Amino acid sequence: MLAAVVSVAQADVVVVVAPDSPLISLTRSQLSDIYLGRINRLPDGTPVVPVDQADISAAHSEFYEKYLGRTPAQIKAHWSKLIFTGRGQPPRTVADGDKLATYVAMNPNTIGYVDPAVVDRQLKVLSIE
Amino acid sequence: MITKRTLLWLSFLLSAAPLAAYAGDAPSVSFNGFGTIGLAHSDEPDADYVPTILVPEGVGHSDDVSATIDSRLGLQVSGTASDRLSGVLQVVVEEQHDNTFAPIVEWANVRFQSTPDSYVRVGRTVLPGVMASEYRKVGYALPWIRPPVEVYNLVPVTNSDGIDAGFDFRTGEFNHTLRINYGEIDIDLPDGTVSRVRDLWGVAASTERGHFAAHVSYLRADITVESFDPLLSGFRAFGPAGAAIADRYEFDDERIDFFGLGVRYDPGDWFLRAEAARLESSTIIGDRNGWYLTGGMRIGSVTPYATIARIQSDSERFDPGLPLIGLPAPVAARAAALNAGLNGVLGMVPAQKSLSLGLRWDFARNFSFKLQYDYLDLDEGSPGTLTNEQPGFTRGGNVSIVSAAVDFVF
Repeated sequence: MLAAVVSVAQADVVVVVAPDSPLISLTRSQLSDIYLGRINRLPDGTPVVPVDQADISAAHSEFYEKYLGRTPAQIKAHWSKLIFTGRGQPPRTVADGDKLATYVAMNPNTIGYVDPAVVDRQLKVLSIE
Repeated sequence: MITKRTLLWLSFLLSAAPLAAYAGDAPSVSFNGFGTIGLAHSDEPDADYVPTILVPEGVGHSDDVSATIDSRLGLQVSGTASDRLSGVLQVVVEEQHDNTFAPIVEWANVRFQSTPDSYVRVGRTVLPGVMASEYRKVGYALPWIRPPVEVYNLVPVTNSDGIDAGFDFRTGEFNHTLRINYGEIDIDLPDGTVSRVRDLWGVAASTERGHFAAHVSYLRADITVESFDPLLSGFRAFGPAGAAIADRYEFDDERIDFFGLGVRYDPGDWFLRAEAARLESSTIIGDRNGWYLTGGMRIGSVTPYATIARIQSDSERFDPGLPLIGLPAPVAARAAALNAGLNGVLGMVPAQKSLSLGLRWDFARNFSFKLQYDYLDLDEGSPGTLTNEQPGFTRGGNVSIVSAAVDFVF
Protein backbone atom coordinates (compact mmCIF):
# COMPACT_ATOMS: atom_id res chain seq x y z
CA MET A 1 0.00 0.00 0.00
CA LEU A 2 2.73 2.42 1.01
CA ALA A 3 4.79 1.33 -1.97
CA ALA A 4 1.86 2.07 -4.26
CA VAL A 5 1.48 5.60 -2.83
CA VAL A 6 5.18 6.28 -3.21
CA SER A 7 5.27 5.09 -6.80
CA VAL A 8 2.23 7.22 -7.71
CA ALA A 9 3.89 10.24 -6.11
CA GLN A 10 7.10 9.62 -8.06
CA ALA A 11 5.27 9.29 -11.32
CA ASP A 12 3.75 12.76 -10.95
CA VAL A 13 6.54 15.25 -11.34
CA VAL A 14 5.07 18.77 -11.29
CA VAL A 15 6.30 21.98 -12.84
CA VAL A 16 6.97 24.77 -10.35
CA VAL A 17 7.83 28.47 -10.14
CA ALA A 18 8.35 30.93 -7.30
CA PRO A 19 5.11 32.01 -5.56
CA ASP A 20 5.41 35.61 -6.79
CA SER A 21 5.93 34.57 -10.43
CA PRO A 22 3.22 35.96 -12.74
CA LEU A 23 2.95 32.56 -14.45
CA ILE A 24 -0.09 30.38 -13.83
CA SER A 25 0.02 27.95 -16.71
CA LEU A 26 2.05 26.99 -19.75
CA THR A 27 1.25 24.98 -22.83
CA ARG A 28 3.11 21.75 -23.29
CA SER A 29 4.85 23.16 -26.36
CA GLN A 30 5.97 26.26 -24.45
CA LEU A 31 7.39 24.07 -21.71
CA SER A 32 9.11 21.98 -24.36
CA ASP A 33 10.56 25.06 -26.09
CA ILE A 34 11.84 26.41 -22.76
CA TYR A 35 13.60 23.18 -21.80
CA LEU A 36 15.04 22.61 -25.28
CA GLY A 37 16.55 26.11 -25.32
CA ARG A 38 14.37 27.36 -28.16
CA ILE A 39 12.88 30.27 -26.23
CA ASN A 40 13.98 32.21 -23.19
CA ARG A 41 10.95 34.51 -22.95
CA LEU A 42 7.23 33.98 -23.15
CA PRO A 43 5.20 35.78 -25.84
CA ASP A 44 4.34 38.55 -23.34
CA GLY A 45 8.06 39.16 -22.76
CA THR A 46 8.35 37.43 -19.37
CA PRO A 47 11.81 35.89 -19.14
CA VAL A 48 11.95 32.22 -18.13
CA VAL A 49 15.06 30.36 -17.05
CA PRO A 50 14.75 26.57 -16.81
CA VAL A 51 16.44 24.61 -14.04
CA ASP A 52 17.21 20.92 -14.31
CA GLN A 53 17.74 18.14 -11.83
CA ALA A 54 20.81 15.94 -12.28
CA ASP A 55 20.35 13.62 -15.25
CA ILE A 56 20.81 10.56 -13.04
CA SER A 57 17.75 11.50 -10.95
CA ALA A 58 14.40 9.75 -11.38
CA ALA A 59 12.67 13.15 -11.58
CA HIS A 60 14.82 14.09 -14.60
CA SER A 61 13.82 11.13 -16.73
CA GLU A 62 10.20 11.33 -15.59
CA PHE A 63 9.96 15.00 -16.43
CA TYR A 64 11.44 14.64 -19.91
CA GLU A 65 9.48 11.52 -20.73
CA LYS A 66 6.16 12.81 -19.38
CA TYR A 67 6.21 16.41 -20.58
CA LEU A 68 8.57 16.39 -23.58
CA GLY A 69 8.23 12.79 -24.74
CA ARG A 70 11.99 12.40 -24.88
CA THR A 71 14.45 10.09 -23.14
CA PRO A 72 17.48 11.40 -21.19
CA ALA A 73 19.78 10.12 -24.00
CA GLN A 74 17.80 12.13 -26.56
CA ILE A 75 18.02 15.22 -24.37
CA LYS A 76 21.76 14.72 -24.07
CA ALA A 77 22.06 14.37 -27.87
CA HIS A 78 19.93 17.51 -28.33
CA TRP A 79 22.21 19.58 -26.10
CA SER A 80 25.29 18.09 -27.73
CA LYS A 81 24.08 19.77 -30.92
CA LEU A 82 23.47 23.12 -29.26
CA ILE A 83 26.55 23.21 -27.04
CA PHE A 84 28.82 22.67 -30.01
CA THR A 85 27.04 25.34 -32.00
CA GLY A 86 27.87 27.96 -29.42
CA ARG A 87 24.12 28.61 -29.57
CA GLY A 88 23.39 27.62 -26.05
CA GLN A 89 24.13 25.81 -22.84
CA PRO A 90 21.79 23.32 -21.20
CA PRO A 91 19.75 24.48 -18.18
CA ARG A 92 21.51 24.99 -14.88
CA THR A 93 21.51 21.68 -13.05
CA VAL A 94 20.96 21.18 -9.34
CA ALA A 95 21.57 17.94 -7.48
CA ASP A 96 18.04 17.03 -6.35
CA GLY A 97 14.46 18.13 -5.78
CA ASP A 98 15.15 19.90 -2.47
CA LYS A 99 17.92 21.99 -3.98
CA LEU A 100 15.74 22.77 -6.98
CA ALA A 101 12.90 23.91 -4.72
CA THR A 102 15.22 26.24 -2.82
CA TYR A 103 16.76 27.64 -6.00
CA VAL A 104 13.48 28.26 -7.81
CA ALA A 105 11.87 29.82 -4.72
CA MET A 106 14.69 32.36 -4.52
CA ASN A 107 14.91 33.16 -8.25
CA PRO A 108 11.62 34.59 -9.55
CA ASN A 109 12.27 34.05 -13.29
CA THR A 110 13.19 30.41 -12.97
CA ILE A 111 11.10 27.34 -13.59
CA GLY A 112 11.72 23.81 -12.42
CA TYR A 113 10.15 20.43 -11.79
CA VAL A 114 9.90 18.41 -8.59
CA ASP A 115 8.20 15.51 -6.96
CA PRO A 116 4.92 16.86 -5.43
CA ALA A 117 6.16 15.80 -1.98
CA VAL A 118 8.73 18.61 -2.19
CA VAL A 119 6.15 21.30 -2.95
CA ASP A 120 5.40 23.65 -0.05
CA ARG A 121 4.40 27.30 0.37
CA GLN A 122 7.66 28.41 -1.23
CA LEU A 123 6.56 27.09 -4.62
CA LYS A 124 3.66 27.45 -7.00
CA VAL A 125 2.65 24.51 -9.20
CA LEU A 126 1.93 25.47 -12.81
CA SER A 127 -0.81 23.83 -14.77
CA ILE A 128 0.46 22.41 -18.04
CA GLU A 129 -2.13 22.33 -20.80
CA MET B 1 45.53 46.84 -44.15
CA ILE B 2 43.37 44.56 -42.08
CA THR B 3 43.38 41.20 -43.77
CA LYS B 4 40.94 38.43 -43.04
CA ARG B 5 43.77 36.56 -41.36
CA THR B 6 44.42 39.45 -39.02
CA LEU B 7 40.73 39.50 -38.30
CA LEU B 8 40.84 35.85 -37.40
CA TRP B 9 43.75 36.25 -35.03
CA LEU B 10 42.15 39.30 -33.53
CA SER B 11 38.99 37.36 -32.82
CA PHE B 12 41.13 34.52 -31.55
CA LEU B 13 42.57 36.87 -28.94
CA LEU B 14 39.21 38.44 -28.28
CA SER B 15 37.59 35.06 -27.86
CA ALA B 16 40.12 34.41 -25.11
CA ALA B 17 39.36 37.77 -23.50
CA PRO B 18 35.86 36.86 -22.25
CA LEU B 19 37.39 33.76 -20.72
CA ALA B 20 39.65 35.87 -18.57
CA ALA B 21 37.16 38.62 -17.90
CA TYR B 22 36.22 39.48 -14.36
CA ALA B 23 33.92 42.31 -15.29
CA GLY B 24 30.40 41.77 -16.61
CA ASP B 25 27.20 40.37 -15.25
CA ALA B 26 27.94 36.67 -15.14
CA PRO B 27 31.37 35.73 -16.40
CA SER B 28 31.64 32.02 -16.87
CA VAL B 29 33.70 29.51 -18.76
CA SER B 30 32.52 26.14 -19.91
CA PHE B 31 34.58 23.35 -21.30
CA ASN B 32 33.09 20.64 -23.50
CA GLY B 33 34.40 17.93 -25.73
CA PHE B 34 33.33 15.30 -28.18
CA GLY B 35 34.94 12.43 -29.92
CA THR B 36 34.63 9.26 -31.94
CA ILE B 37 36.78 6.17 -32.05
CA GLY B 38 35.87 4.26 -35.18
CA LEU B 39 37.00 1.32 -37.26
CA ALA B 40 35.93 0.69 -40.84
CA HIS B 41 36.50 -2.03 -43.42
CA SER B 42 35.80 -1.98 -47.16
CA ASP B 43 35.63 -5.00 -49.46
CA GLU B 44 37.10 -3.00 -52.39
CA PRO B 45 40.91 -3.28 -52.25
CA ASP B 46 41.57 -1.14 -55.34
CA ALA B 47 40.00 2.18 -54.31
CA ASP B 48 39.41 4.17 -51.13
CA TYR B 49 36.14 4.98 -49.43
CA VAL B 50 36.57 8.41 -47.81
CA PRO B 51 34.33 10.34 -45.41
CA THR B 52 35.42 13.64 -47.00
CA ILE B 53 37.28 14.52 -50.20
CA LEU B 54 39.74 16.55 -48.10
CA VAL B 55 41.69 13.51 -46.90
CA PRO B 56 44.30 11.68 -48.99
CA GLU B 57 43.54 8.16 -47.78
CA GLY B 58 40.47 6.21 -46.84
CA VAL B 59 39.60 2.59 -46.30
CA GLY B 60 39.91 -0.10 -48.95
CA HIS B 61 43.11 0.42 -50.89
CA SER B 62 45.16 2.41 -48.36
CA ASP B 63 44.06 0.29 -45.42
CA ASP B 64 42.04 -2.88 -45.23
CA VAL B 65 40.78 -1.72 -41.84
CA SER B 66 41.02 1.97 -41.05
CA ALA B 67 40.93 3.63 -37.65
CA THR B 68 41.42 7.07 -39.14
CA ILE B 69 38.40 7.80 -41.33
CA ASP B 70 35.89 8.25 -38.51
CA SER B 71 38.03 8.90 -35.44
CA ARG B 72 38.35 12.41 -34.09
CA LEU B 73 38.51 14.48 -30.91
CA GLY B 74 37.04 17.94 -30.43
CA LEU B 75 37.56 20.31 -27.53
CA GLN B 76 35.58 23.46 -27.02
CA VAL B 77 35.98 26.33 -24.59
CA SER B 78 33.14 28.82 -24.37
CA GLY B 79 33.40 31.95 -22.33
CA THR B 80 30.72 34.43 -21.41
CA ALA B 81 31.85 37.85 -20.28
CA SER B 82 28.41 39.38 -19.99
CA ASP B 83 24.88 38.97 -21.27
CA ARG B 84 26.08 40.44 -24.54
CA LEU B 85 29.62 39.25 -25.08
CA SER B 86 30.82 35.69 -25.39
CA GLY B 87 33.44 33.72 -27.24
CA VAL B 88 34.05 30.19 -28.38
CA LEU B 89 37.15 28.28 -29.39
CA GLN B 90 36.82 24.79 -30.83
CA VAL B 91 39.82 22.69 -31.77
CA VAL B 92 39.42 19.42 -33.66
CA VAL B 93 41.95 16.65 -34.09
CA GLU B 94 41.16 14.49 -37.12
CA GLU B 95 42.75 13.20 -40.31
CA GLN B 96 44.14 16.11 -42.34
CA HIS B 97 44.94 16.66 -46.02
CA ASP B 98 48.52 15.42 -45.42
CA ASN B 99 47.44 12.33 -43.49
CA THR B 100 48.55 13.76 -40.16
CA PHE B 101 46.39 14.28 -37.09
CA ALA B 102 47.43 17.87 -36.40
CA PRO B 103 44.89 19.87 -34.40
CA ILE B 104 43.05 22.53 -36.36
CA VAL B 105 41.02 25.50 -35.20
CA GLU B 106 37.48 24.71 -36.25
CA TRP B 107 35.87 27.77 -34.66
CA ALA B 108 37.30 30.86 -32.97
CA ASN B 109 34.86 33.67 -32.74
CA VAL B 110 33.50 36.43 -30.58
CA ARG B 111 29.77 36.75 -30.34
CA PHE B 112 27.96 39.96 -29.62
CA GLN B 113 24.33 39.56 -28.63
CA SER B 114 22.97 42.74 -30.14
CA THR B 115 19.41 42.15 -28.91
CA PRO B 116 17.86 39.15 -27.11
CA ASP B 117 16.93 37.85 -30.57
CA SER B 118 19.95 38.70 -32.69
CA TYR B 119 23.70 38.30 -32.67
CA VAL B 120 26.79 39.09 -34.67
CA ARG B 121 29.87 36.87 -34.62
CA VAL B 122 33.33 37.75 -35.88
CA GLY B 123 36.11 35.26 -36.47
CA ARG B 124 36.08 31.69 -37.70
CA THR B 125 32.50 30.48 -37.68
CA VAL B 126 30.55 27.48 -38.87
CA LEU B 127 29.40 27.43 -42.48
CA PRO B 128 25.65 26.77 -42.40
CA GLY B 129 25.19 24.83 -45.66
CA VAL B 130 23.74 21.55 -44.44
CA MET B 131 21.22 20.72 -41.73
CA ALA B 132 23.79 19.24 -39.33
CA SER B 133 26.50 21.82 -40.17
CA GLU B 134 27.12 22.74 -36.56
CA TYR B 135 27.43 19.20 -35.25
CA ARG B 136 28.51 17.23 -38.32
CA LYS B 137 31.68 16.22 -36.48
CA VAL B 138 29.92 15.39 -33.20
CA GLY B 139 29.19 11.69 -33.66
CA TYR B 140 27.12 11.49 -30.49
CA ALA B 141 24.64 14.06 -31.85
CA LEU B 142 24.32 12.28 -35.21
CA PRO B 143 22.17 9.27 -35.99
CA TRP B 144 24.86 7.73 -38.25
CA ILE B 145 28.54 6.87 -37.90
CA ARG B 146 29.18 9.63 -40.45
CA PRO B 147 26.84 11.97 -42.33
CA PRO B 148 25.77 10.59 -45.73
CA VAL B 149 28.63 11.44 -48.12
CA GLU B 150 26.18 11.88 -51.01
CA VAL B 151 25.06 15.19 -49.50
CA TYR B 152 27.76 16.17 -47.00
CA ASN B 153 30.63 15.80 -49.47
CA LEU B 154 29.03 18.48 -51.62
CA VAL B 155 30.14 20.95 -48.92
CA PRO B 156 33.36 19.54 -47.52
CA VAL B 157 34.19 23.00 -46.17
CA THR B 158 32.90 23.38 -42.61
CA ASN B 159 33.90 26.92 -41.61
CA SER B 160 34.91 30.34 -42.85
CA ASP B 161 36.75 33.39 -41.56
CA GLY B 162 34.62 36.49 -41.49
CA ILE B 163 31.44 37.68 -39.96
CA ASP B 164 27.97 36.24 -39.48
CA ALA B 165 24.72 37.42 -38.03
CA GLY B 166 21.67 35.56 -36.78
CA PHE B 167 18.10 36.55 -36.01
CA ASP B 168 15.49 34.54 -34.12
CA PHE B 169 11.80 35.19 -34.57
CA ARG B 170 8.49 33.44 -34.14
CA THR B 171 5.36 33.11 -36.19
CA GLY B 172 2.63 31.29 -34.31
CA GLU B 173 4.15 28.15 -32.85
CA PHE B 174 7.12 28.14 -35.24
CA ASN B 175 10.55 29.28 -34.06
CA HIS B 176 12.66 30.57 -36.93
CA THR B 177 16.34 31.36 -37.20
CA LEU B 178 17.82 33.29 -40.10
CA ARG B 179 21.57 33.44 -40.54
CA ILE B 180 23.75 35.34 -42.96
CA ASN B 181 27.50 34.98 -43.26
CA TYR B 182 30.31 36.48 -45.28
CA GLY B 183 33.85 35.20 -45.25
CA GLU B 184 36.66 33.36 -46.92
CA ILE B 185 38.83 30.34 -46.22
CA ASP B 186 41.85 28.51 -47.61
CA ILE B 187 41.52 24.74 -47.90
CA ASP B 188 44.55 22.45 -48.05
CA LEU B 189 43.86 19.71 -50.58
CA PRO B 190 45.35 16.22 -50.49
CA ASP B 191 47.30 16.86 -53.73
CA GLY B 192 49.31 19.58 -51.99
CA THR B 193 47.58 22.56 -53.56
CA VAL B 194 45.58 25.13 -51.65
CA SER B 195 42.04 25.91 -52.70
CA ARG B 196 41.07 29.54 -52.17
CA VAL B 197 37.45 30.19 -51.28
CA ARG B 198 36.65 33.91 -51.59
CA ASP B 199 33.59 36.13 -51.29
CA LEU B 200 31.76 33.34 -49.55
CA TRP B 201 28.18 34.35 -48.87
CA GLY B 202 25.73 32.15 -47.06
CA VAL B 203 22.09 32.48 -46.09
CA ALA B 204 20.41 29.80 -44.02
CA ALA B 205 16.93 29.71 -42.59
CA SER B 206 15.67 27.09 -40.21
CA THR B 207 12.38 26.62 -38.49
CA GLU B 208 11.23 24.36 -35.67
CA ARG B 209 7.86 23.50 -34.29
CA GLY B 210 7.48 20.73 -31.77
CA HIS B 211 8.90 17.60 -33.34
CA PHE B 212 9.34 19.14 -36.77
CA ALA B 213 12.35 21.05 -38.11
CA ALA B 214 13.27 22.30 -41.56
CA HIS B 215 16.36 23.94 -43.01
CA VAL B 216 17.00 25.75 -46.25
CA SER B 217 20.30 27.28 -47.30
CA TYR B 218 22.16 28.95 -50.12
CA LEU B 219 25.91 29.41 -50.35
CA ARG B 220 27.96 31.03 -53.09
CA ALA B 221 31.66 31.63 -53.41
CA ASP B 222 34.42 32.33 -55.90
CA ILE B 223 36.71 29.32 -55.69
CA THR B 224 40.13 28.55 -57.09
CA VAL B 225 41.39 24.97 -57.33
CA GLU B 226 44.85 24.55 -58.85
CA SER B 227 44.75 20.76 -59.10
CA PHE B 228 43.69 20.85 -62.76
CA ASP B 229 46.07 23.63 -63.88
CA PRO B 230 48.74 21.32 -65.41
CA LEU B 231 46.06 19.65 -67.55
CA LEU B 232 44.40 22.89 -68.59
CA SER B 233 47.65 24.67 -69.38
CA GLY B 234 48.50 21.67 -71.57
CA PHE B 235 45.41 22.49 -73.62
CA ARG B 236 46.40 26.15 -73.86
CA ALA B 237 49.50 25.10 -75.84
CA PHE B 238 47.12 23.99 -78.62
CA GLY B 239 46.04 27.39 -79.91
CA PRO B 240 42.46 28.68 -79.95
CA ALA B 241 40.84 25.21 -79.89
CA GLY B 242 42.86 24.23 -76.81
CA ALA B 243 42.27 27.61 -75.14
CA ALA B 244 38.53 27.22 -75.64
CA ILE B 245 38.61 23.86 -73.84
CA ALA B 246 40.77 25.27 -71.02
CA ASP B 247 38.46 28.28 -70.61
CA ARG B 248 35.41 26.09 -70.39
CA TYR B 249 36.74 23.95 -67.54
CA GLU B 250 38.91 26.51 -65.79
CA PHE B 251 38.77 26.54 -61.99
CA ASP B 252 40.26 29.95 -61.31
CA ASP B 253 38.13 32.26 -59.17
CA GLU B 254 35.02 30.52 -60.45
CA ARG B 255 31.59 31.02 -59.00
CA ILE B 256 30.12 28.01 -57.20
CA ASP B 257 26.51 27.92 -55.99
CA PHE B 258 25.15 25.52 -53.40
CA PHE B 259 21.51 24.95 -52.48
CA GLY B 260 20.49 22.85 -49.48
CA LEU B 261 17.18 21.69 -48.13
CA GLY B 262 16.51 19.52 -45.10
CA VAL B 263 13.61 18.29 -42.98
CA ARG B 264 13.49 16.35 -39.74
CA TYR B 265 10.59 14.85 -37.82
CA ASP B 266 11.36 13.36 -34.42
CA PRO B 267 8.47 12.55 -32.09
CA GLY B 268 10.76 10.46 -29.86
CA ASP B 269 10.00 6.82 -30.54
CA TRP B 270 11.05 7.16 -34.16
CA PHE B 271 12.51 9.77 -36.48
CA LEU B 272 12.83 10.64 -40.13
CA ARG B 273 15.26 13.07 -41.70
CA ALA B 274 16.01 13.92 -45.27
CA GLU B 275 18.20 16.38 -47.11
CA ALA B 276 18.77 17.31 -50.70
CA ALA B 277 21.53 19.49 -52.08
CA ARG B 278 22.69 20.82 -55.41
CA LEU B 279 26.09 22.17 -56.37
CA GLU B 280 26.37 24.25 -59.53
CA SER B 281 29.56 25.32 -61.25
CA SER B 282 30.86 26.02 -64.72
CA THR B 283 34.14 24.30 -63.86
CA ILE B 284 35.61 20.88 -64.52
CA ILE B 285 33.65 19.45 -61.55
CA GLY B 286 30.31 20.37 -63.15
CA ASP B 287 26.94 20.22 -61.38
CA ARG B 288 26.03 17.67 -58.73
CA ASN B 289 22.84 16.61 -56.97
CA GLY B 290 22.64 14.57 -53.80
CA TRP B 291 19.95 13.48 -51.38
CA TYR B 292 19.37 11.06 -48.55
CA LEU B 293 16.51 9.79 -46.44
CA THR B 294 17.10 8.27 -42.99
CA GLY B 295 14.61 6.69 -40.65
CA GLY B 296 15.11 5.11 -37.25
CA MET B 297 13.22 3.69 -34.29
CA ARG B 298 14.17 4.10 -30.65
CA ILE B 299 13.56 0.93 -28.70
CA GLY B 300 14.86 1.56 -25.19
CA SER B 301 18.56 2.31 -25.49
CA VAL B 302 18.80 0.82 -28.98
CA THR B 303 18.12 2.71 -32.22
CA PRO B 304 18.12 0.75 -35.48
CA TYR B 305 18.27 3.03 -38.52
CA ALA B 306 18.38 2.87 -42.30
CA THR B 307 19.45 5.34 -44.96
CA ILE B 308 19.03 5.47 -48.70
CA ALA B 309 21.05 8.03 -50.63
CA ARG B 310 21.89 9.10 -54.15
CA ILE B 311 24.44 11.34 -55.80
CA GLN B 312 24.64 12.08 -59.49
CA SER B 313 25.72 14.72 -61.93
CA ASP B 314 23.82 16.23 -64.79
CA SER B 315 26.96 17.53 -66.46
CA GLU B 316 28.44 15.98 -69.56
CA ARG B 317 30.90 13.25 -68.56
CA PHE B 318 32.64 13.09 -71.93
CA ASP B 319 34.33 15.76 -74.04
CA PRO B 320 35.71 15.01 -77.52
CA GLY B 321 38.60 17.34 -76.67
CA LEU B 322 41.16 18.38 -79.29
CA PRO B 323 40.66 17.15 -82.86
CA LEU B 324 43.57 14.89 -83.74
CA ILE B 325 43.07 14.83 -87.52
CA GLY B 326 45.88 16.49 -89.43
CA LEU B 327 48.24 16.68 -86.48
CA PRO B 328 51.78 15.24 -86.87
CA ALA B 329 52.10 11.95 -84.97
CA PRO B 330 54.01 13.17 -81.84
CA VAL B 331 51.69 16.18 -81.44
CA ALA B 332 48.62 14.00 -81.95
CA ALA B 333 49.87 11.70 -79.20
CA ARG B 334 50.26 14.66 -76.87
CA ALA B 335 46.74 15.90 -77.73
CA ALA B 336 45.31 12.41 -77.26
CA ALA B 337 46.94 12.21 -73.82
CA LEU B 338 45.39 15.55 -72.87
CA ASN B 339 41.98 14.41 -74.13
CA ALA B 340 42.33 11.22 -72.08
CA GLY B 341 43.35 13.28 -69.02
CA LEU B 342 40.34 15.54 -69.39
CA ASN B 343 37.94 12.64 -69.78
CA GLY B 344 39.58 10.92 -66.85
CA VAL B 345 38.68 13.91 -64.67
CA LEU B 346 35.18 14.29 -66.13
CA GLY B 347 34.56 10.57 -65.60
CA MET B 348 35.53 10.83 -61.91
CA VAL B 349 32.24 12.57 -61.20
CA PRO B 350 30.64 10.69 -58.30
CA ALA B 351 27.42 8.89 -59.18
CA GLN B 352 26.06 6.20 -56.90
CA LYS B 353 23.14 4.90 -54.92
CA SER B 354 23.66 3.64 -51.42
CA LEU B 355 21.80 1.76 -48.73
CA SER B 356 23.00 1.88 -45.13
CA LEU B 357 21.73 -0.15 -42.20
CA GLY B 358 22.86 0.60 -38.69
CA LEU B 359 22.30 0.25 -35.01
CA ARG B 360 22.97 2.80 -32.30
CA TRP B 361 23.21 1.71 -28.71
CA ASP B 362 23.31 4.27 -25.90
CA PHE B 363 25.18 1.94 -23.59
CA ALA B 364 26.27 4.45 -20.97
CA ARG B 365 25.73 8.09 -20.03
CA ASN B 366 27.38 10.29 -22.66
CA PHE B 367 28.46 7.31 -24.76
CA SER B 368 26.97 5.62 -27.77
CA PHE B 369 28.10 2.64 -29.80
CA LYS B 370 27.23 2.31 -33.48
CA LEU B 371 27.49 -0.44 -36.01
CA GLN B 372 26.84 0.39 -39.66
CA TYR B 373 26.78 -1.43 -42.97
CA ASP B 374 26.95 0.58 -46.21
CA TYR B 375 26.23 -0.86 -49.62
CA LEU B 376 27.30 1.37 -52.50
CA ASP B 377 25.92 0.72 -55.95
CA LEU B 378 28.17 2.73 -58.31
CA ASP B 379 26.68 4.07 -61.53
CA GLU B 380 28.06 2.59 -64.70
CA GLY B 381 31.41 4.15 -65.56
CA SER B 382 31.63 6.07 -62.28
CA PRO B 383 33.90 5.48 -59.29
CA GLY B 384 31.06 6.77 -57.10
CA THR B 385 32.39 8.62 -54.06
CA LEU B 386 35.51 6.42 -54.01
CA THR B 387 38.98 7.93 -54.51
CA ASN B 388 42.54 6.64 -55.13
CA GLU B 389 41.44 4.39 -57.98
CA GLN B 390 44.07 1.73 -58.68
CA PRO B 391 44.71 -0.10 -61.97
CA GLY B 392 42.74 -3.12 -60.72
CA PHE B 393 39.63 -1.04 -60.01
CA THR B 394 36.62 -1.29 -62.29
CA ARG B 395 34.18 1.61 -62.26
CA GLY B 396 30.55 0.74 -61.72
CA GLY B 397 29.97 -2.34 -59.59
CA ASN B 398 29.33 -2.25 -55.89
CA VAL B 399 31.19 -1.90 -52.62
CA SER B 400 30.39 -2.87 -49.03
CA ILE B 401 31.68 -1.05 -45.97
CA VAL B 402 31.30 -2.22 -42.39
CA SER B 403 32.02 0.26 -39.60
CA ALA B 404 31.87 0.38 -35.82
CA ALA B 405 32.31 3.43 -33.63
CA VAL B 406 32.08 4.66 -30.07
CA ASP B 407 31.01 8.30 -29.70
CA PHE B 408 31.29 10.34 -26.55
CA VAL B 409 30.64 13.84 -25.28
CA PHE B 410 31.67 15.59 -22.10
